[in-house]
Amino acid sequence: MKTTTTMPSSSAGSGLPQEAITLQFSGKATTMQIDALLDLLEKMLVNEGINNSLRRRIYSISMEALQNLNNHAPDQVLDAINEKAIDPAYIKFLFEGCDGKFRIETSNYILLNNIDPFIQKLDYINSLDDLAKKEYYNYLIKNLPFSEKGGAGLGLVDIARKSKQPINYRVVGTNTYYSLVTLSVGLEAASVSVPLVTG
Amino acid sequence: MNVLKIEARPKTPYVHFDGESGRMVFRGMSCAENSPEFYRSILSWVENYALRPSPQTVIEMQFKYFNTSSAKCLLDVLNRFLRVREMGSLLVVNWFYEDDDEQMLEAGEHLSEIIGYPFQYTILQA
Repeated sequence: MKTTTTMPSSSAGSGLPQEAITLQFSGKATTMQIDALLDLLEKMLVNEGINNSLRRRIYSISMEALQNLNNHAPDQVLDAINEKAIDPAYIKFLFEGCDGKFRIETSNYILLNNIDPFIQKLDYINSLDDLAKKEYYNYLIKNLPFSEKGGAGLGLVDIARKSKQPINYRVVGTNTYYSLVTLSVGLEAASVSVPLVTG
Repeated sequence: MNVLKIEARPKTPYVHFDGESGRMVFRGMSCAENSPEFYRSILSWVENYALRPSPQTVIEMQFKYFNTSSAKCLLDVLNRFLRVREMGSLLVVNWFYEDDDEQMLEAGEHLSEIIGYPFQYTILQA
């Protein structure tokens, strides 16, 4: 596991970092590694004095993104002769924030056969407005069965709803069997408010 | 067995369901990647409870975080609890959230909308 962090102090009173904060991870995605990474992220956000509402949104998006990687990690290692060996469970995670703007980026290998449906799903989610995303989420939660690994198939649309921004993606590093897919999502502190409804 | 009690763990919530009083408590984190595994025994308990429920069923849900896999499980749990009304039990769903946790309030409102049953919302001081 390779993790690096940069944690400057917040400017007094704002609750938001004025300088860049960064958390990076690259390595094999195991449940334990993901849990440790999320713990580290939460501690960093608490240390930065980021408010509860924003901190929980960042944490939730990161959790869904990382668990999504784990759920979709290829089970088999497929390496062709003369092909550079890769570990299909290898992932990258990057969180960075500065001046009220945050970015969460994840990269993982996806089997070539699964790339097109994955991209189609992302494009579809990105084409939806807020109400349509909610309706899509409702449809999936009611109708989609759990995957073998216990995934609900809701991770991407949940990330899009919580970030209130499109999920950007790029596909690089294709070999015979896999491509490295990077998802990147932004979040702005200004889009997160405290609740107005009282009980 | 009228009581189902599960201690909290780092990724699964404290659960205390009392079939006599009808008070059902969820509290903490629900972030296991394979949530259906955790919720299996809970669903089974609720299924049995719904056949002979207490006159009043009060569900208290107080989560810090839950992932999408848990959201689907919670929907299943709530849908099974809705059946107690057919047996004459008065159903109340209390949703707790910290005063500055917009996300958890939204999550409660969304679950309520999906199951088509109103929740009572209670603010906790962070």
